[in-house]
Amino acid sequence: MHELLLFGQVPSSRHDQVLNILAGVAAMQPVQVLEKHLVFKPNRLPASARPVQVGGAQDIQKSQVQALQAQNQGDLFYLRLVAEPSSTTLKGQGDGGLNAKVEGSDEIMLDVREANGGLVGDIQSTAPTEGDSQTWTLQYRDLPEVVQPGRRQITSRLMADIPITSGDPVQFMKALDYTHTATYLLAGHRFTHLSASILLHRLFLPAKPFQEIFNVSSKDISQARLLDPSGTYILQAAVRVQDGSKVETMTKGSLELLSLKETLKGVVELDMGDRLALDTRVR
Amino acid sequence: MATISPKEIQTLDYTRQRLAQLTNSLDSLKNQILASDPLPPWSSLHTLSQMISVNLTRVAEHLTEHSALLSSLAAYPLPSYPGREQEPLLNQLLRKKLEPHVEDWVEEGRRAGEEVGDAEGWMELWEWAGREETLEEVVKGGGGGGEDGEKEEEEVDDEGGDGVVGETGQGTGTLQGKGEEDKEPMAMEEVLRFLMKGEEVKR
Repeated sequence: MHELLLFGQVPSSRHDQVLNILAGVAAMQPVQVLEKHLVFKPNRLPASARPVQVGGAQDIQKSQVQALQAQNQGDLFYLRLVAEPSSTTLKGQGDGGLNAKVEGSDEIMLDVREANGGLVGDIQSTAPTEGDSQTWTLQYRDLPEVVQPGRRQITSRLMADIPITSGDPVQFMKALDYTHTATYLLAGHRFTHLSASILLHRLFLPAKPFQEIFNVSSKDISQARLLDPSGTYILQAAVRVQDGSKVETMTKGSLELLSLKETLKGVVELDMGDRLALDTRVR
Repeated sequence: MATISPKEIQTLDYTRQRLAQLTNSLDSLKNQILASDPLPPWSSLHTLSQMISVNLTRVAEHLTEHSALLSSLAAYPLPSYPGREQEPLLNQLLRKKLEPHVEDWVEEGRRAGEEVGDAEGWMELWEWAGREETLEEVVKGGGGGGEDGEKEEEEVDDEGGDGVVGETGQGTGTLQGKGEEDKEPMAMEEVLRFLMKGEEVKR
Protein backbone atom coordinates (compact mmCIF):
# COMPACT_ATOMS: atom_id res chain seq x y z
CA MET A 1 0.00 0.00 0.00
CA HIS A 2 1.15 3.54 -0.63
CA GLU A 3 0.64 6.57 1.50
CA LEU A 4 0.43 10.16 0.26
CA LEU A 5 1.14 12.74 2.93
CA LEU A 6 1.15 16.42 3.69
CA PHE A 7 2.18 17.97 6.98
CA GLY A 8 1.54 21.23 8.75
CA GLN A 9 2.06 22.80 12.15
CA VAL A 10 -0.55 24.48 14.32
CA PRO A 11 0.39 26.58 17.37
CA SER A 12 -1.48 25.42 20.45
CA SER A 13 -3.25 28.76 20.74
CA ARG A 14 -4.93 28.09 17.43
CA HIS A 15 -5.74 24.46 18.12
CA ASP A 16 -9.41 24.94 18.97
CA GLN A 17 -9.98 27.22 16.04
CA VAL A 18 -8.37 24.78 13.62
CA LEU A 19 -10.34 21.95 15.17
CA ASN A 20 -13.53 23.86 14.49
CA ILE A 21 -12.53 24.64 10.94
CA LEU A 22 -11.60 21.04 10.26
CA ALA A 23 -14.91 19.91 11.71
CA GLY A 24 -16.56 22.23 9.24
CA VAL A 25 -14.46 21.12 6.29
CA ALA A 26 -14.91 17.45 7.00
CA ALA A 27 -18.51 17.88 8.11
CA MET A 28 -17.97 15.69 11.12
CA GLN A 29 -17.16 15.92 14.79
CA PRO A 30 -13.54 15.11 15.61
CA VAL A 31 -12.76 11.57 16.69
CA GLN A 32 -10.41 11.40 19.61
CA VAL A 33 -7.19 9.52 19.00
CA LEU A 34 -4.85 8.19 21.64
CA GLU A 35 -2.08 5.88 20.56
CA LYS A 36 0.95 4.37 22.16
CA HIS A 37 3.86 4.03 19.78
CA LEU A 38 6.85 1.79 20.42
CA VAL A 39 9.77 2.26 18.09
CA PHE A 40 11.93 -0.75 17.38
CA LYS A 41 15.36 -0.83 15.85
CA PRO A 42 16.65 -3.96 14.15
CA ASN A 43 19.94 -5.35 15.30
CA ARG A 44 22.37 -5.97 12.53
CA LEU A 45 23.95 -9.38 12.71
CA PRO A 46 27.53 -8.98 13.81
CA ALA A 47 29.98 -9.65 11.04
CA SER A 48 31.28 -12.80 12.69
CA ALA A 49 27.82 -14.31 12.86
CA ARG A 50 27.25 -13.88 9.21
CA PRO A 51 27.54 -16.96 7.15
CA VAL A 52 31.04 -16.98 5.82
CA GLN A 53 31.31 -17.50 2.15
CA VAL A 54 33.68 -20.30 1.32
CA GLY A 55 34.55 -21.91 -1.92
CA GLY A 56 34.50 -18.83 -4.06
CA ALA A 57 31.92 -18.10 -6.70
CA GLN A 58 31.38 -21.75 -7.45
CA ASP A 59 29.86 -22.30 -4.08
CA ILE A 60 26.37 -23.65 -4.18
CA GLN A 61 24.25 -22.12 -1.50
CA LYS A 62 20.93 -23.09 -0.25
CA SER A 63 18.26 -20.63 -1.22
CA GLN A 64 17.57 -19.97 2.45
CA VAL A 65 21.12 -18.92 3.10
CA GLN A 66 21.06 -16.72 0.06
CA ALA A 67 17.94 -14.97 1.27
CA LEU A 68 19.55 -14.42 4.62
CA GLN A 69 22.60 -12.91 3.07
CA ALA A 70 20.56 -10.63 0.87
CA GLN A 71 18.77 -9.43 3.95
CA ASN A 72 22.02 -8.72 5.69
CA GLN A 73 23.36 -6.68 2.87
CA GLY A 74 20.19 -4.73 2.26
CA ASP A 75 18.83 -1.88 4.28
CA LEU A 76 17.26 -2.48 7.63
CA PHE A 77 14.27 -0.46 8.68
CA TYR A 78 12.85 0.75 11.93
CA LEU A 79 9.48 -0.69 12.81
CA ARG A 80 6.76 0.67 14.97
CA LEU A 81 4.31 -1.09 17.22
CA VAL A 82 1.22 0.98 17.73
CA ALA A 83 -1.31 0.26 20.41
CA GLU A 84 -4.70 1.82 20.23
CA PRO A 85 -7.13 1.36 23.04
CA SER A 86 -10.34 -0.14 21.78
CA SER A 87 -13.29 2.17 21.64
CA THR A 88 -14.64 0.74 24.87
CA THR A 89 -11.55 1.74 26.82
CA LEU A 90 -11.61 5.20 25.43
CA LYS A 91 -15.07 5.64 26.77
CA GLY A 92 -13.85 4.48 30.13
CA GLN A 93 -15.56 1.15 30.32
CA GLY A 94 -12.40 -0.79 29.51
CA ASP A 95 -12.97 -4.42 30.30
CA GLY A 96 -11.87 -6.95 27.74
CA GLY A 97 -14.42 -6.58 25.07
CA LEU A 98 -14.14 -7.04 21.38
CA ASN A 99 -10.42 -6.75 20.99
CA ALA A 100 -9.49 -9.05 23.78
CA LYS A 101 -6.14 -10.70 23.50
CA VAL A 102 -6.52 -14.41 23.31
CA GLU A 103 -3.93 -16.03 25.50
CA GLY A 104 -3.61 -19.37 23.96
CA SER A 105 -1.84 -21.80 21.77
CA ASP A 106 -1.47 -21.62 18.04
CA GLU A 107 -4.36 -23.95 17.76
CA ILE A 108 -6.73 -21.44 19.24
CA MET A 109 -5.27 -18.71 17.09
CA LEU A 110 -6.08 -20.69 14.01
CA ASP A 111 -9.51 -21.36 15.33
CA VAL A 112 -10.12 -17.71 15.87
CA ARG A 113 -9.10 -16.85 12.37
CA GLU A 114 -11.33 -19.44 10.81
CA ALA A 115 -14.13 -19.08 13.22
CA ASN A 116 -17.36 -17.35 12.57
CA GLY A 117 -18.60 -14.68 14.90
CA GLY A 118 -20.21 -17.13 17.27
CA LEU A 119 -17.06 -19.03 18.00
CA VAL A 120 -15.07 -15.87 18.62
CA GLY A 121 -17.61 -14.92 21.18
CA ASP A 122 -17.22 -18.29 22.84
CA ILE A 123 -13.48 -17.98 23.15
CA GLN A 124 -13.73 -14.52 24.56
CA SER A 125 -16.10 -15.63 27.21
CA THR A 126 -13.95 -18.56 28.24
CA ALA A 127 -10.57 -16.87 28.09
CA PRO A 128 -10.39 -14.19 30.73
CA THR A 129 -8.58 -11.07 29.64
CA GLU A 130 -6.43 -8.95 31.88
CA GLY A 131 -8.05 -5.70 31.02
CA ASP A 132 -5.86 -5.51 27.98
CA SER A 133 -8.35 -4.11 25.56
CA GLN A 134 -6.03 -2.53 23.08
CA THR A 135 -5.33 -3.42 19.52
CA TRP A 136 -1.77 -3.66 18.32
CA THR A 137 -0.57 -2.85 14.87
CA LEU A 138 2.87 -3.36 13.43
CA GLN A 139 3.67 -0.45 11.18
CA TYR A 140 6.25 -0.34 8.45
CA ARG A 141 7.04 2.87 6.62
CA ASP A 142 9.48 3.07 3.74
CA LEU A 143 11.77 5.93 2.89
CA PRO A 144 9.63 8.43 0.94
CA GLU A 145 10.09 8.45 -2.79
CA VAL A 146 12.22 11.13 -4.38
CA VAL A 147 10.09 13.98 -5.70
CA GLN A 148 11.38 15.42 -8.94
CA PRO A 149 11.34 19.19 -9.05
CA GLY A 150 8.27 20.34 -10.89
CA ARG A 151 6.26 17.30 -9.86
CA ARG A 152 3.51 17.36 -7.26
CA GLN A 153 4.96 18.33 -3.92
CA ILE A 154 3.61 15.44 -1.91
CA THR A 155 5.33 12.90 0.28
CA SER A 156 4.71 9.45 -1.09
CA ARG A 157 5.93 6.27 0.52
CA LEU A 158 5.37 2.57 0.68
CA MET A 159 3.69 1.47 3.87
CA ALA A 160 2.21 -1.52 5.59
CA ASP A 161 0.05 -1.83 8.66
CA ILE A 162 -0.12 -5.32 10.00
CA PRO A 163 -2.77 -5.84 12.64
CA ILE A 164 -1.65 -8.13 15.42
CA THR A 165 -4.49 -10.31 16.46
CA SER A 166 -2.94 -12.30 19.24
CA GLY A 167 0.19 -12.98 21.19
CA ASP A 168 2.62 -10.63 22.86
CA PRO A 169 3.81 -8.17 20.24
CA VAL A 170 6.76 -6.97 22.29
CA GLN A 171 8.05 -10.51 22.74
CA PHE A 172 7.55 -11.05 19.06
CA MET A 173 9.69 -8.06 18.21
CA LYS A 174 12.39 -9.31 20.57
CA ALA A 175 12.32 -12.67 18.88
CA LEU A 176 12.82 -10.91 15.55
CA ASP A 177 15.96 -9.36 17.07
CA TYR A 178 14.63 -5.83 17.28
CA THR A 179 15.46 -3.54 20.18
CA HIS A 180 12.94 -1.22 21.66
CA THR A 181 14.34 2.30 21.43
CA ALA A 182 11.58 4.74 22.21
CA THR A 183 8.04 5.10 23.43
CA TYR A 184 5.74 7.97 22.80
CA LEU A 185 2.08 8.75 23.06
CA LEU A 186 0.20 10.35 20.25
CA ALA A 187 -2.89 12.28 21.28
CA GLY A 188 -5.19 14.29 19.12
CA HIS A 189 -8.17 14.16 16.85
CA ARG A 190 -8.89 12.54 13.56
CA PHE A 191 -11.16 13.65 10.75
CA THR A 192 -12.08 11.96 7.53
CA HIS A 193 -12.60 14.15 4.52
CA LEU A 194 -13.45 12.24 1.32
CA SER A 195 -10.57 9.76 1.06
CA ALA A 196 -8.20 11.77 3.19
CA SER A 197 -7.54 11.10 6.83
CA ILE A 198 -6.69 14.26 8.73
CA LEU A 199 -4.88 13.87 12.01
CA LEU A 200 -4.27 16.81 14.32
CA HIS A 201 -2.04 15.59 17.08
CA ARG A 202 0.74 16.14 19.59
CA LEU A 203 3.40 13.77 20.84
CA PHE A 204 3.99 13.04 24.49
CA LEU A 205 6.83 11.28 26.20
CA PRO A 206 5.48 9.13 29.01
CA ALA A 207 6.88 9.50 32.48
CA LYS A 208 6.77 5.78 33.15
CA PRO A 209 8.77 3.16 31.26
CA PHE A 210 6.74 1.66 28.48
CA GLN A 211 6.17 -1.72 30.11
CA GLU A 212 4.06 -0.12 32.76
CA ILE A 213 1.79 1.61 30.36
CA PHE A 214 -0.37 -1.33 29.73
CA ASN A 215 -3.49 0.46 28.81
CA VAL A 216 -3.13 3.89 27.42
CA SER A 217 -5.43 6.24 29.18
CA SER A 218 -5.79 9.95 29.40
CA LYS A 219 -4.20 9.64 32.85
CA ASP A 220 -0.91 8.68 31.24
CA ILE A 221 -1.16 11.71 29.04
CA SER A 222 -1.59 14.04 31.96
CA GLN A 223 1.63 12.70 33.48
CA ALA A 224 3.53 12.71 30.24
CA ARG A 225 5.69 15.52 28.99
CA LEU A 226 5.29 17.13 25.63
CA LEU A 227 7.93 16.28 23.07
CA ASP A 228 7.64 19.80 21.74
CA PRO A 229 7.65 22.12 24.74
CA SER A 230 5.85 24.83 22.78
CA GLY A 231 2.83 22.54 22.54
CA THR A 232 2.61 22.91 18.79
CA TYR A 233 0.29 20.51 17.05
CA ILE A 234 1.10 18.55 13.94
CA LEU A 235 -1.49 18.31 11.23
CA GLN A 236 -1.10 15.32 8.97
CA ALA A 237 -3.27 14.74 5.95
CA ALA A 238 -2.95 11.31 4.40
CA VAL A 239 -4.47 9.44 1.50
CA ARG A 240 -3.77 5.73 1.16
CA VAL A 241 -3.53 4.12 -2.21
CA GLN A 242 -3.85 0.36 -2.41
CA ASP A 243 -1.66 -0.08 -5.47
CA GLY A 244 1.13 2.44 -5.80
CA SER A 245 2.09 1.21 -9.25
CA LYS A 246 -1.18 2.42 -10.72
CA VAL A 247 -0.47 5.92 -11.90
CA GLU A 248 -4.14 6.75 -12.22
CA THR A 249 -5.07 6.15 -8.60
CA MET A 250 -1.90 7.79 -7.36
CA THR A 251 -2.73 10.90 -9.38
CA LYS A 252 -6.28 10.91 -8.08
CA GLY A 253 -5.05 10.62 -4.51
CA SER A 254 -2.48 13.38 -4.93
CA LEU A 255 -4.98 15.71 -6.53
CA GLU A 256 -7.38 15.18 -3.66
CA LEU A 257 -4.68 15.93 -1.16
CA LEU A 258 -3.65 19.05 -3.06
CA SER A 259 -7.24 20.27 -3.18
CA LEU A 260 -7.41 19.81 0.57
CA LYS A 261 -4.23 21.86 0.83
CA GLU A 262 -5.93 24.54 -1.24
CA THR A 263 -9.02 24.44 0.99
CA LEU A 264 -6.94 24.85 4.11
CA LYS A 265 -4.85 27.65 2.66
CA GLY A 266 -4.70 30.45 5.17
CA VAL A 267 -5.69 28.10 7.97
CA VAL A 268 -2.78 25.72 7.98
CA GLU A 269 -0.01 25.60 5.43
CA LEU A 270 0.33 21.99 4.41
CA ASP A 271 3.57 20.86 2.86
CA MET A 272 5.41 17.72 2.08
CA GLY A 273 7.63 16.29 4.79
CA ASP A 274 11.39 16.38 4.58
CA ARG A 275 12.39 13.16 2.88
CA LEU A 276 15.45 12.51 4.98
CA ALA A 277 13.63 13.34 8.19
CA LEU A 278 11.15 10.62 7.28
CA ASP A 279 13.97 8.16 6.66
CA THR A 280 13.32 4.89 8.44
CA ARG A 281 16.51 3.13 7.49
CA VAL A 282 19.02 2.09 10.06
CA ARG A 283 22.39 3.67 9.56
CA MET B 1 -40.81 86.91 20.16
CA ALA B 2 -37.14 87.14 19.77
CA THR B 3 -35.77 87.04 16.26
CA ILE B 4 -33.12 84.48 15.51
CA SER B 5 -29.70 85.59 14.52
CA PRO B 6 -28.16 84.62 11.16
CA LYS B 7 -25.71 82.44 13.09
CA GLU B 8 -28.56 80.49 14.61
CA ILE B 9 -30.15 80.09 11.19
CA GLN B 10 -26.83 78.73 10.00
CA THR B 11 -26.88 76.17 12.80
CA LEU B 12 -30.36 75.12 11.81
CA ASP B 13 -29.36 74.81 8.21
CA TYR B 14 -26.36 72.75 9.21
CA THR B 15 -28.66 70.39 11.11
CA ARG B 16 -30.75 70.02 8.00
CA GLN B 17 -27.71 69.19 5.89
CA ARG B 18 -26.44 66.61 8.34
CA LEU B 19 -29.81 64.93 8.54
CA ALA B 20 -30.11 64.93 4.78
CA GLN B 21 -26.74 63.22 4.47
CA LEU B 22 -27.74 60.62 7.01
CA THR B 23 -31.03 59.89 5.24
CA ASN B 24 -29.17 59.67 1.95
CA SER B 25 -26.73 57.07 3.20
CA LEU B 26 -29.51 55.09 4.87
CA ASP B 27 -31.45 55.21 1.64
CA SER B 28 -28.58 53.95 -0.46
CA LEU B 29 -28.04 51.03 1.92
CA LYS B 30 -31.72 50.19 1.70
CA ASN B 31 -31.67 50.40 -2.07
CA GLN B 32 -28.60 48.23 -2.37
CA ILE B 33 -30.10 45.55 -0.19
CA LEU B 34 -33.33 45.65 -2.13
CA ALA B 35 -31.68 45.73 -5.52
CA SER B 36 -29.10 42.96 -5.29
CA ASP B 37 -29.78 39.34 -4.73
CA PRO B 38 -28.74 37.61 -2.49
CA LEU B 39 -26.81 40.45 -0.85
CA PRO B 40 -24.46 43.20 -1.97
CA PRO B 41 -20.79 42.32 -1.67
CA TRP B 42 -19.31 42.35 1.77
CA SER B 43 -17.03 45.28 1.04
CA SER B 44 -19.78 47.63 -0.12
CA LEU B 45 -21.94 46.75 2.89
CA HIS B 46 -18.99 47.56 5.08
CA THR B 47 -18.39 50.92 3.39
CA LEU B 48 -22.04 51.89 3.68
CA SER B 49 -22.29 50.94 7.31
CA GLN B 50 -19.19 52.99 8.02
CA MET B 51 -20.66 55.98 6.20
CA ILE B 52 -23.87 55.66 8.19
CA SER B 53 -22.05 55.45 11.47
CA VAL B 54 -19.92 58.50 10.59
CA ASN B 55 -23.05 60.45 9.68
CA LEU B 56 -24.82 59.35 12.83
CA THR B 57 -21.89 60.48 14.94
CA ARG B 58 -21.82 63.86 13.22
CA VAL B 59 -25.55 64.38 13.76
CA ALA B 60 -25.26 63.37 17.38
CA GLU B 61 -22.26 65.68 17.92
CA HIS B 62 -24.03 68.55 16.27
CA LEU B 63 -27.23 68.03 18.26
CA THR B 64 -25.44 67.89 21.60
CA GLU B 65 -23.33 70.93 20.77
CA HIS B 66 -26.32 73.10 20.02
CA SER B 67 -28.81 71.40 22.31
CA ALA B 68 -29.50 74.65 24.21
CA LEU B 69 -30.54 76.51 21.10
CA LEU B 70 -32.36 73.64 19.44
CA SER B 71 -34.46 72.76 22.47
CA SER B 72 -35.47 76.39 23.03
CA LEU B 73 -36.70 76.85 19.48
CA ALA B 74 -40.37 76.60 18.65
CA ALA B 75 -41.93 76.58 15.25
CA TYR B 76 -44.94 78.67 14.40
CA PRO B 77 -46.37 79.48 11.00
CA LEU B 78 -46.32 82.98 9.55
CA PRO B 79 -49.58 84.31 8.23
CA SER B 80 -48.08 84.21 4.74
CA TYR B 81 -47.45 80.45 4.92
CA PRO B 82 -49.62 78.52 2.45
CA GLY B 83 -51.37 76.52 5.16
CA ARG B 84 -54.02 74.95 2.98
CA GLU B 85 -51.73 73.58 0.27
CA GLN B 86 -48.99 72.41 2.64
CA GLU B 87 -51.15 71.04 5.41
CA PRO B 88 -49.37 67.73 6.00
CA LEU B 89 -45.97 69.44 6.21
CA LEU B 90 -47.42 72.09 8.50
CA ASN B 91 -48.84 69.40 10.75
CA GLN B 92 -45.51 67.64 10.88
CA LEU B 93 -43.66 70.84 11.74
CA LEU B 94 -46.06 71.77 14.48
CA ARG B 95 -46.23 68.36 16.02
CA LYS B 96 -44.64 68.29 19.49
CA LYS B 97 -44.83 64.60 20.21
CA LEU B 98 -43.29 61.89 18.06
CA GLU B 99 -45.58 59.92 15.81
CA PRO B 100 -46.70 56.57 17.29
CA HIS B 101 -44.65 54.38 14.98
CA VAL B 102 -41.59 56.54 15.52
CA GLU B 103 -42.11 56.19 19.24
CA ASP B 104 -42.08 52.44 18.77
CA TRP B 105 -38.74 52.68 16.98
CA VAL B 106 -37.26 54.77 19.72
CA GLU B 107 -38.45 52.28 22.31
CA GLU B 108 -37.04 49.41 20.33
CA GLY B 109 -33.69 51.10 19.97
CA ARG B 110 -33.55 51.93 23.64
CA ARG B 111 -34.25 48.34 24.58
CA ALA B 112 -31.56 47.05 22.19
CA GLY B 113 -29.16 49.50 23.73
CA GLU B 114 -29.98 48.32 27.23
CA GLU B 115 -29.44 44.72 26.26
CA VAL B 116 -25.82 45.24 25.25
CA GLY B 117 -25.40 47.98 27.80
CA ASP B 118 -24.71 45.75 30.81
CA ALA B 119 -21.27 44.30 31.37
CA GLU B 120 -22.31 40.76 30.56
CA GLY B 121 -23.72 41.74 27.23
CA TRP B 122 -20.52 43.48 26.31
CA MET B 123 -18.49 40.44 27.27
CA GLU B 124 -20.68 38.29 25.10
CA LEU B 125 -20.39 40.65 22.20
CA TRP B 126 -16.63 40.81 22.46
CA GLU B 127 -16.23 37.10 22.80
CA TRP B 128 -18.07 36.81 19.57
CA ALA B 129 -16.67 39.75 17.71
CA GLY B 130 -13.22 40.18 19.19
CA ARG B 131 -12.15 36.63 18.71
CA GLU B 132 -10.85 36.71 15.19
CA GLU B 133 -8.93 39.88 15.81
CA THR B 134 -7.25 38.68 18.97
CA LEU B 135 -6.45 35.35 17.39
CA GLU B 136 -4.75 37.10 14.56
CA GLU B 137 -2.68 38.96 17.06
CA VAL B 138 -1.69 35.80 18.88
CA VAL B 139 -0.66 34.18 15.63
CA LYS B 140 1.46 37.12 14.65
CA GLY B 141 4.27 35.99 16.88
CA GLY B 142 2.68 36.44 20.25
CA GLY B 143 1.11 39.81 19.54
CA GLY B 144 2.20 43.22 20.60
CA GLY B 145 0.28 43.43 23.85
CA GLY B 146 1.57 42.67 27.29
CA GLU B 147 1.46 39.29 28.99
CA ASP B 148 -1.84 39.83 30.70
CA GLY B 149 -3.54 40.78 27.51
CA GLU B 150 -2.39 37.64 25.83
CA LYS B 151 -3.64 35.42 28.57
CA GLU B 152 -7.03 36.99 28.44
CA GLU B 153 -7.22 36.47 24.75
CA GLU B 154 -6.37 32.85 25.14
CA GLU B 155 -9.10 32.29 27.67
CA VAL B 156 -11.64 33.79 25.37
CA ASP B 157 -10.36 31.58 22.61
CA ASP B 158 -10.63 28.41 24.67
CA GLU B 159 -14.14 29.04 25.81
CA GLY B 160 -15.31 29.79 22.34
CA GLY B 161 -13.73 26.66 20.93
CA ASP B 162 -15.08 24.17 23.44
CA GLY B 163 -18.58 25.30 22.96
CA VAL B 164 -18.69 24.35 19.34
CA VAL B 165 -16.69 21.18 19.31
CA GLY B 166 -18.42 19.75 22.34
CA GLU B 167 -16.97 17.24 24.74
CA THR B 168 -14.25 15.98 22.44
CA GLY B 169 -12.35 19.18 22.87
CA GLN B 170 -11.66 18.49 26.51
CA GLY B 171 -9.45 15.46 26.21
CA THR B 172 -6.28 17.22 25.25
CA GLY B 173 -7.34 20.66 26.29
CA THR B 174 -6.24 20.10 29.86
CA LEU B 175 -2.63 20.66 28.98
CA GLN B 176 -2.97 24.09 27.43
CA GLY B 177 -2.44 26.85 29.94
CA LYS B 178 1.05 25.60 30.90
CA GLY B 179 2.64 28.69 29.54
CA GLU B 180 3.73 26.91 26.41
CA GLU B 181 3.20 29.97 24.35
CA ASP B 182 6.53 31.58 25.03
CA LYS B 183 8.53 28.79 23.52
CA GLU B 184 9.54 28.39 19.94
CA PRO B 185 7.89 25.49 18.19
CA MET B 186 10.07 22.55 17.34
CA ALA B 187 11.18 22.22 13.75
CA MET B 188 8.96 19.98 11.69
CA GLU B 189 11.95 17.89 10.64
CA GLU B 190 12.84 17.11 14.22
CA VAL B 191 9.32 15.98 15.01
CA LEU B 192 9.13 13.81 11.93
CA ARG B 193 12.52 12.32 12.69
CA PHE B 194 11.31 11.46 16.14
CA LEU B 195 8.12 9.96 14.74
CA MET B 196 10.13 7.66 12.54
CA LYS B 197 13.11 6.72 14.68
CA GLY B 198 12.33 7.81 18.17
CA GLU B 199 15.50 9.86 18.43
CA GLU B 200 14.95 12.98 20.43
CA VAL B 201 17.05 15.97 19.55
CA LYS B 202 18.54 17.45 22.69
CA ARG B 203 18.18 21.15 22.90
